[in-house]
Amino acid sequence: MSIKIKNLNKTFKTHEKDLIALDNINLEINTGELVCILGPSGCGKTTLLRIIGGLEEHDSGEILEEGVAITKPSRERGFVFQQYSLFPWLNVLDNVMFGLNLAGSQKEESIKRAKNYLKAVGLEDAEKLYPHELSGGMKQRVAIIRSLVNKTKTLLMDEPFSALDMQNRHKLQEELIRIWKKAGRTIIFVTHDVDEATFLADRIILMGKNPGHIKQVFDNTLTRPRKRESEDFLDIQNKIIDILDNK
Amino acid sequence: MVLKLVPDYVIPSPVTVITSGYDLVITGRLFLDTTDTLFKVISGLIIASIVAIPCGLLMGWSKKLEEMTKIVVGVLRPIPPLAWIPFSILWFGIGTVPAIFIIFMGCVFPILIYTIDGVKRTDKVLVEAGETLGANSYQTLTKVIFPSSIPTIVSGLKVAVGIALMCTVSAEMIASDKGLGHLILNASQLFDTGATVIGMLAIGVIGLIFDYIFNKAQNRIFW
Repeated sequence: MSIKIKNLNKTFKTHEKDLIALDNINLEINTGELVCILGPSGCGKTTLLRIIGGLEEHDSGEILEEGVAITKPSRERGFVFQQYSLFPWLNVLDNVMFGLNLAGSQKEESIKRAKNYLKAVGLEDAEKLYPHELSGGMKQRVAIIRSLVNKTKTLLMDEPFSALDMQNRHKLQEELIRIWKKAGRTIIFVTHDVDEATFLADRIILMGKNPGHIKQVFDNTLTRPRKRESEDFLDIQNKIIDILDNK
Repeated sequence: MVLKLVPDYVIPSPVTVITSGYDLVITGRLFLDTTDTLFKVISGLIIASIVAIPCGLLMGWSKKLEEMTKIVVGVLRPIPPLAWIPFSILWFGIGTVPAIFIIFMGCVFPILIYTIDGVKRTDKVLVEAGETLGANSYQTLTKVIFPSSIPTIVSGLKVAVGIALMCTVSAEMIASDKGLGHLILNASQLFDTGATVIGMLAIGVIGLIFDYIFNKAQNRIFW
């Protein structure tokens, strides 16, 4: 078991009223799994991911990684943000090596490691470029690599492809699956896009709002590689939409 | 001059200015006074930066520290740097050091305020990205917040240069025997308005050069 969440609650206090973001969440995520958290805006899916990442505190309940409580961010739990989050003053290679440098890794080894990862996503020629010279898709590729190179056990992704156009989004989804298969990390991927969740996940955590809760954990039995045109794919998508719409 | 409407000691003719300038260059005085003023400005700026940038980073970062220092900064900041002249003479006498002190007092607050602002403008997502990549508090401050604040800090330095020049020249007029401020005052007392103009132009050129350097630096910082 990689991550275990028990009776987790989170309330945001605003000056008008208290907003229950997460209501009694129970969830277990296995090592090496690719899980999507899917739900409409305001269902608390990003909050849940941020709590797993240690970026947000929770009010009550338990959240454990390998039996140890998560209280703050850690390099073992990489995070890819919805917004572009590369350091604008560093070039691509230095961005990728950021975590390795913090940990005091040996320089030559870090460079070699970073370059290998860049090559794996076809960015070996971009290492000297600065973030403002990259396209949105390239930025998010670098952000993913920046976390993976850091020997993260779990990669948390918060709608990382939502700002990209459809072609790029599909391309990155395919790349993510390739990386996931090769690197064997646990991936928890938040999205509001049914198609994206159907394409990526082994299991889909379906969430509802007011207050944020888990509706159902859906096992995605589609075999890989998945084809969007296939009837099974559309079938599963429709099933998920029905659950989300309470039919 | 064909048209001699006003005497030279009111508005110097170009010829007077050029003659005075030539004298000042030949005797080496312009060079000495300019380098003296430059030395004071640069020293004052460096010392003010060494104090203000780390303090600003900490104060921008920690709400507690900002609250604690709010009153001290609030009271000291509005005091015109030239009001420190009496104390600077008492403490440091006449010469280079009191001038540097005045420049320091003039520059430290704009650099501080800009640095705090730079810290507060740091994109939260960059801080969180740093943390999830394993940065501890110290590393977050030095490797994320500081570099992301640099453009704003450079803006603060640009403001500080203007203040520094103002402070030096004024300080030199009162508590110094060297520098461009002294040159201007001395020349005007001798009704040598040509030399006065040369002194003023030299200050203008120094300001221009600093501005050029900082603009170049800011253009290199493209984020």
